[in-house]
Amino acid sequence: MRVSAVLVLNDRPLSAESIGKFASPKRDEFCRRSLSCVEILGQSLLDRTVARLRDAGVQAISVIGGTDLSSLPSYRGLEITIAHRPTDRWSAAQRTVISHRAKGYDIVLMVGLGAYMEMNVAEVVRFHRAHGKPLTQLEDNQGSLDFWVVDSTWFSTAANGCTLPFRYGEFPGLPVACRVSGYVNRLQEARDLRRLVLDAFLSRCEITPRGREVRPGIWIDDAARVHKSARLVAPLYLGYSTKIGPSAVITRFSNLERRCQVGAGTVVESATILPYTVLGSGLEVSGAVVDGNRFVDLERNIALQVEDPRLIRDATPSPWFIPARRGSESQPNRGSEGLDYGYSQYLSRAAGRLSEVLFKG
Amino acid sequence: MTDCSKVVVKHLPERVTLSQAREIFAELEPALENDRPCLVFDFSDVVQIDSAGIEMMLRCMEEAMKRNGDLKLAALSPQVAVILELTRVDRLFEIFATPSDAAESFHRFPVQALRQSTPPRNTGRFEAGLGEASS
Repeated sequence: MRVSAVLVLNDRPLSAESIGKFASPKRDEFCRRSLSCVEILGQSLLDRTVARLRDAGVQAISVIGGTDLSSLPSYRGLEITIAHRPTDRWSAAQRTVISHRAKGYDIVLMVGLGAYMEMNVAEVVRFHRAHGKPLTQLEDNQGSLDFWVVDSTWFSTAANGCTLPFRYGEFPGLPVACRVSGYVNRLQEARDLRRLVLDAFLSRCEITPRGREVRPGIWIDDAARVHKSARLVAPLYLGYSTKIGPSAVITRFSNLERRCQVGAGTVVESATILPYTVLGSGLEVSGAVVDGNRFVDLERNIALQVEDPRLIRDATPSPWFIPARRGSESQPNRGSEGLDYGYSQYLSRAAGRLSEVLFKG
Repeated sequence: MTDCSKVVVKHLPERVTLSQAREIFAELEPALENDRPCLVFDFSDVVQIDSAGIEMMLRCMEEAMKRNGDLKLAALSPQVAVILELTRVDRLFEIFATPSDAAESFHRFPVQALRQSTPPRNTGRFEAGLGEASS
């Protein structure tokens, strides 16, 4: 029996117009890119899903998504299809399943990426085969998940031309529901992303931060630079080539992803800072998700776009300049986008007036 | 990993004010001069702390950091927790429910201890006394 997988990026990037018009930041509203492609604790959900499928012995994996995929490295053995409009992705998935059938794959795992799911793939396939039906859908205690196990022969014949994703009632008695017991996070809101990070730090899911655990609970990835006067309080994660300025405080359940920069005296507490985000000096970032100049305050439950680049800004390089990823990224960033360390400004703002006590002598 | 073979647990007196703070710092100075000093302040009996006490904590932390060590806090009473929160010093320290948890954390990240006192919705604090309802 040969098993393949088709992964469809089920989320869409944020439109700038939608910022600030809502009260409850959803997935599409706090992240500029497809969240599945954004590194969380050093590795994207797409990477983690591909690794899980490969570990389970899935032989061919196709990925269908938007332009975000074009900036990804050429995954070895992955077939990548770019579909600009989200609505086109499922029709591309349909063609891909049929092409997998032609290549001799009996079972196709069709996954709508958006939620993060930890399931035993071999067990799911066993369940599917044991029930003898052509279509199985995973579900957890909150309802059905965008994960189907499809018999490719049935799909190419009886289900040919059906609309994807599958809907209940389209085919009598299908799909068969398969309950998953593993960790699932639907990642629908910014709060869910924070929960994922907390769960990873607390070992409630299988995600482990990349990089080296330099002290218990403190993971630092390659080429990260931390000023000697900065304070790190576990648990936290600093991604590849992050820069932490003098007297900055990074504390408790915070994660700063690839190439983030934190200015002098800024406090980051229980916050998720997504890749290529620059935080200025003397800021207080607490209980938030920040992506470039998009800021989601989870306590106030609002999202906003900050226009002043001295506060927060996006440092994503131009597409032609995006370096190859970890494996081939031999040179640490020596660019001139250094932090504007305002030594005279941060002392009174860093961690309240007591930072003055701490650093005065 | 930090090599903290010897963790020094300092049991603090009921009041950590100006005179006591000086004594405590003087007492800890030799330990702070070691390579990678690992200190735990046991606050179980402390009912009062003032700015001198907090300054002493920060000085100990600074000295420990200079030598690649750390200072952690344990068994905070609600009174002390309020003062630390008020002065925003709480965010600078790892804070644990018991001195043994704090001492253990120098060797191994104490996931179990954190799980028992589930971190709150946003602030992520996991210490005894400062915990809020979890989400």
